[in-house]
Amino acid sequence: MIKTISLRTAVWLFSFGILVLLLLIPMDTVFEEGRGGMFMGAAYDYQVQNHVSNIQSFFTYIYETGGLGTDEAGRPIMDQVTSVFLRSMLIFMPAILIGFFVGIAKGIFDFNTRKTKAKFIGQPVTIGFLSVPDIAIIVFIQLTVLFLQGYGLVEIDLFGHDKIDNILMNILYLSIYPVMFIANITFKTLENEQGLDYIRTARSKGTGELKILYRHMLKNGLPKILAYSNTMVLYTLSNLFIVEVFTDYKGAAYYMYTTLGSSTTFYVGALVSPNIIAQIGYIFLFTVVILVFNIVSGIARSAISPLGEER
Amino acid sequence: MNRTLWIGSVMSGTVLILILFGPYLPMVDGTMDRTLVLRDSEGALLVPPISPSDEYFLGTDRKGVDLWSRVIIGARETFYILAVIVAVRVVAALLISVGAFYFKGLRFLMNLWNSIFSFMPTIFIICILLAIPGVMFSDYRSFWVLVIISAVEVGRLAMVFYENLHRQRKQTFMEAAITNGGSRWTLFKNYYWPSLLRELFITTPMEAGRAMILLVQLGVIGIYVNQQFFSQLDRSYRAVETSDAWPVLLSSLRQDIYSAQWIPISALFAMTFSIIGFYLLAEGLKKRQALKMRRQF
Repeated sequence: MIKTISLRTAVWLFSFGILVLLLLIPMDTVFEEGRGGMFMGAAYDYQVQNHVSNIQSFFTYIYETGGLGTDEAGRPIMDQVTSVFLRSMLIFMPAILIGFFVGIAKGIFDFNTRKTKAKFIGQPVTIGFLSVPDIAIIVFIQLTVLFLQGYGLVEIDLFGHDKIDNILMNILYLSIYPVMFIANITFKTLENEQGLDYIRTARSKGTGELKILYRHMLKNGLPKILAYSNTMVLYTLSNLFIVEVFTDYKGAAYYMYTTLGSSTTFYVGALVSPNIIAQIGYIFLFTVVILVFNIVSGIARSAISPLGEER
Repeated sequence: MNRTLWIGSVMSGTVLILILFGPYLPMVDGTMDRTLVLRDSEGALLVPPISPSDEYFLGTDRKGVDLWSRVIIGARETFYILAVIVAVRVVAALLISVGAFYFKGLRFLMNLWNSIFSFMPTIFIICILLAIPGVMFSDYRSFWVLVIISAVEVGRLAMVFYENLHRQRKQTFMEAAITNGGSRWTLFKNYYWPSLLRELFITTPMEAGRAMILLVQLGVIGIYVNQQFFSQLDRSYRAVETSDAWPVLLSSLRQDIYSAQWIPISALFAMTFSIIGFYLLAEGLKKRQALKMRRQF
């Protein structure tokens, strides 16, 4: 267990280091301007010594300020980073929790109804939701809300970040994938456990179906479900990015996008981003979240069986 | 009868027809003319985007181009991008997985690569890599975007192939093949490669679906493969997509939801349709293989 934790922490440090290196790449770009400031092109040449000096100044900065320092207006960057990050977590964490609880419930439902007529709203629906791009579902939900709003039936604010509506809607959007993902894993796990000897034994001894399902199958399957939580968290974080940018929810992913956003817009001569420090802060917090889930899933994985998954 | 395979093939076949014969299909205006202003029957002026009507089956986009034509003609470019991404991914993953299977060093590198990327959500890392000025202003930006989009998922795919090889090695008949004196090359040619090939048949349509989902997501946040920078009024520059690919139709998604719902609906429908087609094809092929294997033993 200690080995799992230390190994994963080491890899985390390494990948965080790589990300910081990427963010600190020098931005010495020479813009070629045409008449009236027209953008003609840009020349970029990478120089190692500039990169090194960037890294050095970053570390001296961190060391000297003993935190993340302050921005131009004198407000501490650390406070901004944490408050914005908490805003993101306010929609991310509930989505993950809903994913686990509702997902397992849905998986059990799928499993129970797999041979009945109700199976049409069971497993196929789960698979269907998993294969449709989330944004299609989100747009569908929004269009429905707007349609209902047209008739004055509901009153929901779709874009922004300061209303309870925004938070609830974003939790809904974000939790679609985790719920379906966990439901699918639960279903598959239960299906695998299904034919095993100990289940047959339990059944022949007259244990009730419900008790078998919860006491035996689910209990044995839980580590397997947890083991996949890593993939789910990673995908949901990717989704957080999309959802925040799309719905104007000003959380950490939104700010990361707008400050990094140079991939879609930029100003001539103003490529050096003063927000680099904040970006590194966000990256740090996000990767820590991943690390926590990574450790949980790693421990779960080693708990399944020391020999791996073959049985 | 394998119904999944049938439905999947029909759906993917439809997409294929769009790619091959798109411009020649009925109701498709190959020139993609822009309609700037239009008069309706009562003489009122209509400005694009024009909503679906008799003249424009799916309406028009914000530039006044007939959406039906645009979706069908855009298919070719969309799938050209998709094919490049999937091809790069699959070939790279095959090389890496086979290398990792035979050489310990490469295996270590593959695992390291995977565990590093397990700390980087796909969209994050794509955004960070694309924001590097060397990539952003490169003359070959489209090329780099394709490479980056392919590369971030290569490790996962390589792992799938590697696990397939590993499973194959554990089969009991492999012991027989080894004791019979099969050389490394014979073993690879007659046992490992066929098993990889079976995996490949299922994985390729699956990957195409995944890559399409990624393109949709990137389209929503305004990252496209073919971009050019155009100056705005405030001395800033904005990347403008210069192609007809489907994800571009999502570029003004937030306004469209209020004012021109038909644009995102048609784009999302086209993309979701092909994604589901690919998934069903993959599932169907998987089922077919399972049946075939059962018959053999």
